[in-house]
Amino acid sequence: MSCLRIDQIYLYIEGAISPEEIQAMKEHISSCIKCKRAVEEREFLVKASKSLPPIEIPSGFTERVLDQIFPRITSLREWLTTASIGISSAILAFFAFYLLSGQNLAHLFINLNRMALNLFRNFIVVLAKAAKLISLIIKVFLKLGSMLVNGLTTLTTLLSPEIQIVLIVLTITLSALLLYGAKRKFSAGEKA
Amino acid sequence: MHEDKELVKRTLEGDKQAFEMILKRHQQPLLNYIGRMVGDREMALDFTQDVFIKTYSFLHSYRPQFKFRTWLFKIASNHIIDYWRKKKIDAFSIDQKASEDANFPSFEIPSDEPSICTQVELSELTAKVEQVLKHLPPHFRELFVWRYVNEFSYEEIAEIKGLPIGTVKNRVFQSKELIRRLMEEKV
Repeated sequence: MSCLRIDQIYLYIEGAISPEEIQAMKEHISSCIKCKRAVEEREFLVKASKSLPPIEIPSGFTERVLDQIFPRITSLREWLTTASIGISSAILAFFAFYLLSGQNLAHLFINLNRMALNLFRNFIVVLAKAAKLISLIIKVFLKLGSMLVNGLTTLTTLLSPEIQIVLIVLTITLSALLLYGAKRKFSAGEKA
Repeated sequence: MHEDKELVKRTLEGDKQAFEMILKRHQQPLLNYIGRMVGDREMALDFTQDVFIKTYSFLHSYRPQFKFRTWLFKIASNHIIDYWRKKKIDAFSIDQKASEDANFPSFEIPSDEPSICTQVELSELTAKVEQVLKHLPPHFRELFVWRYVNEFSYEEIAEIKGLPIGTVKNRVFQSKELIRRLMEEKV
């Protein structure tokens, strides 16, 4: 057999040739220093190539990628939860005031308007101060709200949307029942 | 251990954890490949992230008759090509066709071939390979990395690049020999 070609050497190293060819090459390599050295060099090179180290992945990389992939779904869920909680709270607050004050709806609006007009006419300065106070209260509530949202966000990741809806409905119903009970107690007190 | 195809199916059904498993399984091999193609770790991490985002977006178009990892690496390869095209980096086109393969020097062993391995430890030679790999034309480097770092079969590489197996084998052989010759220049 004549001297090996370089491509034959790589096929030999990979074992990608027939056993007969391998045997013939082995015989040649054992008797040819040049080919023996060429094979050894390339075997070592292939071994070194297979030993190339992995590139280090920083901690938190997986989470970073997942956050990029799933934010839209999470934010939609967050938004829906926040909106449903906000609307529910507003309805509950109005319902509570309506039940506890015992006024009819039209009367309630007229009284509110009168009160606002009087405040505007006579207590501008007080109103300004009240506005400042309200803004402070709003800030506190916003902070509390964001804490609530964060808490709910954690909950949304743990609970399925169905369970979340059931929980919201249960909370509204329970609150309404409590308010109704309170209203009846007050009425009973008035009668007595 | 879950099969990739099963994890893809579960992801498409809305199971986030299934995609997390895909991510954890393939992020290291993908980074090993991209890192050696772009030569910068931070950029490679950004590219790896982009590739996973693309993969998730196109997951519905994955066909189970193909191996998932070949599909994933095809997305990665195209992502790198797109980036280089945008940057007008075109020294050696990564998607060079088989017919364009450079006329390679002789297959004969030169009688005065210098040794690159004499008195060299394996770790030292590995470091040298890493060094000269940066100077290898991208269309050779890509195949070399897939073959020796990612340990892909020739069939898998052929599937990713859409090239005949013979061309892939030839290019991998040429890449090894180019690395050797680049090392010879540094001896």
